[in-house]
Amino acid sequence: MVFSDLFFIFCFIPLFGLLYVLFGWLDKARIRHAERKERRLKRPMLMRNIVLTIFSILFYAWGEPIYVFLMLAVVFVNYICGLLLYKKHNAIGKGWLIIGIAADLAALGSFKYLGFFSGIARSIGFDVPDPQIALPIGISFYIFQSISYLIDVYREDSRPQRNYFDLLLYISMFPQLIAGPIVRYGTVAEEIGHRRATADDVADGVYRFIIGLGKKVIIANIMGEIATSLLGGDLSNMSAAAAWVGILAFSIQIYFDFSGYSDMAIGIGRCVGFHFPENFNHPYTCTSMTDFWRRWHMSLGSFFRDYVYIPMGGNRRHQALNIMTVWFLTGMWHGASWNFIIWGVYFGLIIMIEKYTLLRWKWMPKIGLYIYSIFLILVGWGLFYYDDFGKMQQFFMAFFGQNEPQGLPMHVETVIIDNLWLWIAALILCLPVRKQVEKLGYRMSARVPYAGNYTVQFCHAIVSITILICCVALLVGATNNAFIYTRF
Amino acid sequence: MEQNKDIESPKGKGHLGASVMYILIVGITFAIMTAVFVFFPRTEYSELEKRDLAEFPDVSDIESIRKDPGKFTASISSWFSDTEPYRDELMTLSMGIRGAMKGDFRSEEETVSFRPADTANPADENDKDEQPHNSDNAVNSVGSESSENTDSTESTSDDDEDDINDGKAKLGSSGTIIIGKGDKVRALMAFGGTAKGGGGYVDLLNTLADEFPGRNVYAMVAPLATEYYLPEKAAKASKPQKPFIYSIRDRLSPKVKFVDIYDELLKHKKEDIYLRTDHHWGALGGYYAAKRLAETAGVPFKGLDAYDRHEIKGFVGSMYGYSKDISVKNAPETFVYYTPNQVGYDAEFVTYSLNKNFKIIRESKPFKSAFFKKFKDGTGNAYLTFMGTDQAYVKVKTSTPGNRKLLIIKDSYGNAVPGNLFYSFNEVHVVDFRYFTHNLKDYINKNGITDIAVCFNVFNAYSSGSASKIKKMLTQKGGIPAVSDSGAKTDPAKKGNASQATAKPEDTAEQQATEQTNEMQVEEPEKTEPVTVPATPEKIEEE
Repeated sequence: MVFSDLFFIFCFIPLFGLLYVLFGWLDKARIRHAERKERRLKRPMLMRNIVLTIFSILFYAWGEPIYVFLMLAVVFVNYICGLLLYKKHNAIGKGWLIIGIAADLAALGSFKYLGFFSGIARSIGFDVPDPQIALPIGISFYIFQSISYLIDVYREDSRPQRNYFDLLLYISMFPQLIAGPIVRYGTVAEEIGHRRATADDVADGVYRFIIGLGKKVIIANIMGEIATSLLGGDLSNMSAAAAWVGILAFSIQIYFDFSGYSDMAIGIGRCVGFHFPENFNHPYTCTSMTDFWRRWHMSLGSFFRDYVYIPMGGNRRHQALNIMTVWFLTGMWHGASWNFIIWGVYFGLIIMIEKYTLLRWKWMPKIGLYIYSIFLILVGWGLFYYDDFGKMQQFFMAFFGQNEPQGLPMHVETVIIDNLWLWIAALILCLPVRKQVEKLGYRMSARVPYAGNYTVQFCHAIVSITILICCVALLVGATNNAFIYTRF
Repeated sequence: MEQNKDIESPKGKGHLGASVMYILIVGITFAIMTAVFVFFPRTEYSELEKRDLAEFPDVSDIESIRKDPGKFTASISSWFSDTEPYRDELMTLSMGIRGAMKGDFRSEEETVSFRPADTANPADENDKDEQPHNSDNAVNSVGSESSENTDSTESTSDDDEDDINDGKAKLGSSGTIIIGKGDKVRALMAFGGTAKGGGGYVDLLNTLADEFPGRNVYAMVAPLATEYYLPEKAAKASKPQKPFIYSIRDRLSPKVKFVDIYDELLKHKKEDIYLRTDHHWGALGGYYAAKRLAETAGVPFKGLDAYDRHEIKGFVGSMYGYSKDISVKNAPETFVYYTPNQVGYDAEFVTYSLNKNFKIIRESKPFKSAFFKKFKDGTGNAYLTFMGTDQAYVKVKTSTPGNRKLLIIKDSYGNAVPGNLFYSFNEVHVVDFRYFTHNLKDYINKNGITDIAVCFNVFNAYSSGSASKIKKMLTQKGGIPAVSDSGAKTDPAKKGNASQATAKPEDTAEQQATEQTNEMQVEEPEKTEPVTVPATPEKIEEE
């Protein structure tokens, strides 16, 4: 199931919301009952957590009925390892940590990379069959969360989870299950047992969810159509305009798709009292690739920083090796395909070069930095888009103007003119415009007690309802609606 | 990371109350929408897309659910998002939203927009390996010929797919082209074929000529409007049809007579020979095609002064649903058709009932009915004026003297032709290439047919599958294969009433429909004519 599915919006969400609220009352009754007996309730969220876990399993099983058992097993292994390694500062603790991480990576490796590796083996002459395993959705995300759990517990940043179902809740929680953000255990450990969602939280969460839905359905889906129509098909005589406009459309698509998903995840989390980390910070306003990766998929970047880069020595020991390892893994994480690895290494190299050049050149004008960054990002998405090297080559031929000049071909002109306002809106929304507008609104409303707040929330409501209705209309008859990042 | 938090609601005085107000407003709106989506009756048929919508998966089929539970849950999701209440209204809104995104500042003659075919359309993809004329398919799936889609897919396994494979991919990836502005908008279909295609059609015509020596065999290939109206600017969006049509002519054996529709229509390009909003040509296009056929056949042909002119106003055809472009909907046209007024004619129909899978399950007894059906203004089905359906074969006896008897084997383009030939032939027989269960050879011999025409649009002429269906008719034994008739649907328009059947073009299909429903209660099952595609805006379910 995906968030932008009418079934999710009008069946799953209402049912979940209803039961969550009902069971919330049950929890409150339990708390009152305990108070009367002057006991402190150990698990005040129990009923709500049960609902959340059941709906999360259902959410996952809806698309992957078989692989839900894989997830349950992964959680079980991590649960056991977490208990065994906690506070053991010797080889035993480290042993369990290694076993746990190895088990996680083995699951990831066999379900995500086996086909890729067997392909490599075949290409160098070994006779191994193609395992033909379908990628379990979201496995890259939940395996990384499992690893973060083990390491956080090993480092004693968090206490191990004594209850299997609470750990299951952390791993399987449906808002962030299949496409992040990669929520680290320490971030939500407290909130699993004790959390509150005030009216402010719910209002912010709902608003955030709807903004994310709008990003996905209104912008990403249509940009995706454009990208497919321009970047797909026969590329042998692709025009430069088609290559540029197409990859620009894809850049917009992937940003709004993924950040929209993160918004929806964070929004749902807020509604039930969780605070997930932010995943994006206007990445297309970056001034260098180093900066870009501080703004794009931040939860993945910080994961690699804290669990790979720094343990390897960070900038103190063989920094170049550390950087390249991290970027090789980043590319690899995105998919079992060479183009993702190239894509990762591409950024690794650029970031390394930037350390000695761009980041030291304080004299560079900002505008130059923006152009530099956008250009490298577009090239990066070109590498990312094509897993077929023949097509990738044809694309870059066109991108760099190696094909016959064709001016602005009609089909390119059409996708621009037909969606002109969408292009404009999308490009503006890549800048932190909404943030500024809302901040301005808040500042103005703060001068007027009561009325100011009501005005702001009323505007939010109008925006929300408008987006919701547009999204529902656009989703009717939509055929291709999957999130890009659920593939990884 | 926390420092990058999205802006949160202000926490000044009254923030909680304001948040509660937000939750109430959005919550109530959402609750209403949920109630509508979950509890209102679901849409089963999309008028806009002209198709039956998805059905709830079969829960009783435990075995296949166990085998692939993911498919089962996925089909529940897709059922839910396919059959939402007010689907057509929501889609119209969706097209309106897409339309509003357009930057509309260019001059009128320059306005061209190109819409690639829905590459994500799963039906399209499934067909890719089997259907040689994908582009047509996509149109058919929203047009009145939706049945062809499934129908031909199932039988193509034994169809020869020779030289047309090269055109396949190109056809599949092309789409619709919208030209003009305001009330002059015209939606065109892209053609992706090359001059090499159409081997099956040529072969069929040559076979017919060999099989029936002494009878006239005519090849009629109708070009799409694209050929005449595609602006220079958009020329790349569609392949020229002229080389294809004339290469067919050049490959035909001398025994086959080529009816040069292309040339005839070119002469009348300035007139309304094509519909702007439908994938068919207009009545006038069919009229000129018939004229050329009559000339080729050496039979008399009357000018339009021997016809009454009728109008159906506010017609928006299939290209709206297909292109999903709001500008098509905003440019309704007047559907004009002509009925002969100086000749007697008497049409006898045999209609076919189809089941859900578009398999023929029943054949009606011959019954008399109006050849031209009358539709109300604003209908989306105006093209069904001609005979009301494709799922029938029709025999028209005319008061024209002589012994020339014409058989037209046709696709839906051909529907607009026979009504103009009542002055020319003593009998006109119309057989659809998809729906005919008898042995065609016997039929031709038994009825003393003297002239045989195969009238296809370029898509069907290109596809060897369409031609091989007709070839099969030449040898098939006849009779209807035993298929269960679950889900058969009733098309009321084709059941005539004897008193109305004698050349009274003003018979109203609506009127018939009402009578039909009243009759149905008492009639024997085989007398009702259930088909999947409605000929009238009202769709009546068989109990």
